[in-house]
Amino acid sequence: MKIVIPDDYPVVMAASAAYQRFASAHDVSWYGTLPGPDLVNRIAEAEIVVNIRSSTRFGEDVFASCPRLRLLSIWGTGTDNVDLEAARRHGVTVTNTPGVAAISIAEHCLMLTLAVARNILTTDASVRRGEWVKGNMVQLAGKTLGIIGLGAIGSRFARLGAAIGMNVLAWTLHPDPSRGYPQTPLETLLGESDVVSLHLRLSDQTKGFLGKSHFALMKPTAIFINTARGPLVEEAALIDALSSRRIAGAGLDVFDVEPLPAGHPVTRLDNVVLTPHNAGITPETLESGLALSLDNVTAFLAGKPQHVV
Amino acid sequence: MSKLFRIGVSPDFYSEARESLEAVLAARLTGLPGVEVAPMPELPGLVATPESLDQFDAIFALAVHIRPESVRGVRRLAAVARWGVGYDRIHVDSLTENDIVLTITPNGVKRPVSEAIFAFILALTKNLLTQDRVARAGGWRGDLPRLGVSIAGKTLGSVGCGNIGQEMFRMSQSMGFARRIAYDPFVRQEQVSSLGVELVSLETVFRESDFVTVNTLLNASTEGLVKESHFRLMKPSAYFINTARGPIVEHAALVRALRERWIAGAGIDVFPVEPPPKDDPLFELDNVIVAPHAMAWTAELMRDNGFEATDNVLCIARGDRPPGAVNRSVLEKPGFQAKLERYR
Repeated sequence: MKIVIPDDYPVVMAASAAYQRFASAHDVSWYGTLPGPDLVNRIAEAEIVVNIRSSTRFGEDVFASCPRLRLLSIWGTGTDNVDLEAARRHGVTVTNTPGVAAISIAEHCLMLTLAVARNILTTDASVRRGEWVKGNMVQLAGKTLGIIGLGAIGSRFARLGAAIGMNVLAWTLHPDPSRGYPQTPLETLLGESDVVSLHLRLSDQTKGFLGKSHFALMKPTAIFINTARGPLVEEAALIDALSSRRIAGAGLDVFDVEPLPAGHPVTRLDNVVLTPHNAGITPETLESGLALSLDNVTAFLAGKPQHVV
Repeated sequence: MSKLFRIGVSPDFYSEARESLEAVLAARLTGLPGVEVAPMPELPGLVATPESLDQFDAIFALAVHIRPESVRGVRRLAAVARWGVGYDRIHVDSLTENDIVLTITPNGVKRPVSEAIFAFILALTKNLLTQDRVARAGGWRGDLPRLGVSIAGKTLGSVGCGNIGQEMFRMSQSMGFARRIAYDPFVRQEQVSSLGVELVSLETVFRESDFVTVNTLLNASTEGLVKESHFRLMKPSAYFINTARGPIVEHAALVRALRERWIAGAGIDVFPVEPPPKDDPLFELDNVIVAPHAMAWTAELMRDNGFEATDNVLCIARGDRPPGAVNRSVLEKPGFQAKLERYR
C-alpha cells in the first residue's frame, strides 16, 4: 500500500513521534516542500495521501489523474481545499482530525479578544517608548459573547467566555438544543454582542457569510474574531468597518489570501491584532492531530475507517 | 446627619480619571442632601497635608500619599476611601492613631485584575507580539521562532490567595488547568479547597507552576518577597505575571531571569517606581509584555470602585461602620465612635 505525504512544509509530520512509528511500519514517500504544480507527479501512484497543508488543493483534475487513490487523510478539520463531490465520484474516502485543535483554537480566540480589549500591542509599544498613558481598557466580564457556529471550537470558546464572566449568545447552522444554547437569530446576535466570533466551516453555502450589512448591525464597541477561514467574511467590508471605526476592533488569524501579502490594508490598521493562521498549532495539538491523521490511515487499512468527512 | 458631610477628592482624579469620577458622582452623590463633594487642594508630590485633609469628613483617594505628618493634628477627617485595594501609599497606623478609618474596594477590582492576568498569560503563551509583527511584515507561521503553547493541562500558581487570587482561580475553573497551587500564610486550606487550590510553600509555587502570578498586597513583609533564588527555581518554559505591585519583586533579578532565559517570559503591569525610567532594561527584551499599571483600568473597574468607595463613605455619613474597613481596630476606638455619633 503506497502512502504519500506530498506537502510537509514547514515540516511538522516528519518531526512527530507518531510519524516515526508509522513510517517504520509502512511504505511512505515523504516530501518536505510544498508541491505546487508537482502535486500529481508526487501522488500519481499513491493509494493513500496524507495531506498536511490547506494550500494543497485536491480538485477533479487531481482525482482524475490519480486512479489508484483510495484515501485522503487530512491533517486538520477544514476540508475547503478538497472537492468532496469529486472525491466521492472517484471513490476516494476523505478523513479529517476533528476536535484535537479545538482547545488551542478556543484559547487563541480568548487571547485575541483580550488582546484587542486590553490594547496589548499598542500599550506595550507605548510603554517601551517611555510613555505612561493609562487608557480605558475594555472589560469582558458582564459583556456578551456572540458565537456563530457551535461545533467543537465554538462550543469550547463559549465555555471560556463564560469562565471569564461573559453571557453567551449562539447561532449555528444546524440548531441542536443539546449544545446548551438556544438558537439566537443572527441579526439579534450581531446587534447585541460585544464580541462576535466566527466558527463556521467554509463551503459554497458559507462563503461571504458576513458582509457589509452584518457589520452595520454590530455595536460600535464590538470586537470581531475570526479564526475559522478568511473567505467566510467579505474582507473589504471588514476592513471598511474597522478603518471607519464602525466596529471597535478585530482579532484575525485567517485572511482571504494567505500568507497575508506585505502592505495589505489589514496590516495597516491599528485596531486589529493579527496572527498568521496558527490558532490551532501548539505542540500539544500538533502532536495529537498528526497522530490522529495517521491513526485514520491505520483504521482505514484495517477496514474500519474513522473520522470520514 | 446634623451638618454638611464634606467629601474631598484627591487631585489625581482630575488628571487620571475625570470621566469615571464624574460618572460616579452623578450617579450616586450629586444632589444628595447633606453631602458636598469638592476637590482637595493641589498637593505637591501628591502628598496630603493636614490642611488639605481637615476640611473634609472623608476623602476619595486614588494614588495620593498619606504619611504620618499628613494627618498630624487632623481632627475632622473620619475616612480615607480608596478607589482600589492597594494602600502602600498610606500610613495606616497613623490613620488609626488619629481615629480615621481606611476603606478599600475589593469587589470592584477582582474581576478586571483577574481578566488582565489571563490577558497576559494567553498573550505570552501564544507569543502574540512576535505573531502580530510577523503577520504584518509579510511573513507567515513558518517564520515564527516558536509555536504557541496551550494553557490546558498546565499548572496555574499564585503568590497570595486572597480576594484577587481566589477570583483568578474561580475564573480558571473551565480553562482546563491541570493544577492550581498558591502560597498564602493567611489563608487556610479549607477556604480555597472548593476552588481546587492546593496551598503550598512559596518555593513550590515557583518550582512547579507554568504560570506564576503575584496577587498580594505590598507591605513590609512582601516588599522584595520575590528574589533571584525564586526565579532560579522556575521552569525554563514558565511565565511570570505581576499585576500587583512592583516592589514585591526584585526588579534586577526579574530582568536577569528574562535576559538569561531562566524563564520563558513575563507580563509586567507594575514597576518598582512608576512611571519607570525610560531606560528600564525590561523594555529591551522581547520575552516580556509591559503595561502602564493599567491593565485592569476598565470603565467598569473605575465605576465599580467608585460605587464601592461611595457606599463606604455614605455608611460613615449615616454613622455606620463601613464594610470595606482595613484598620478594623479603629472602629472600636472612642475617638472614632464619637465621629460616627456626630453624623447620626
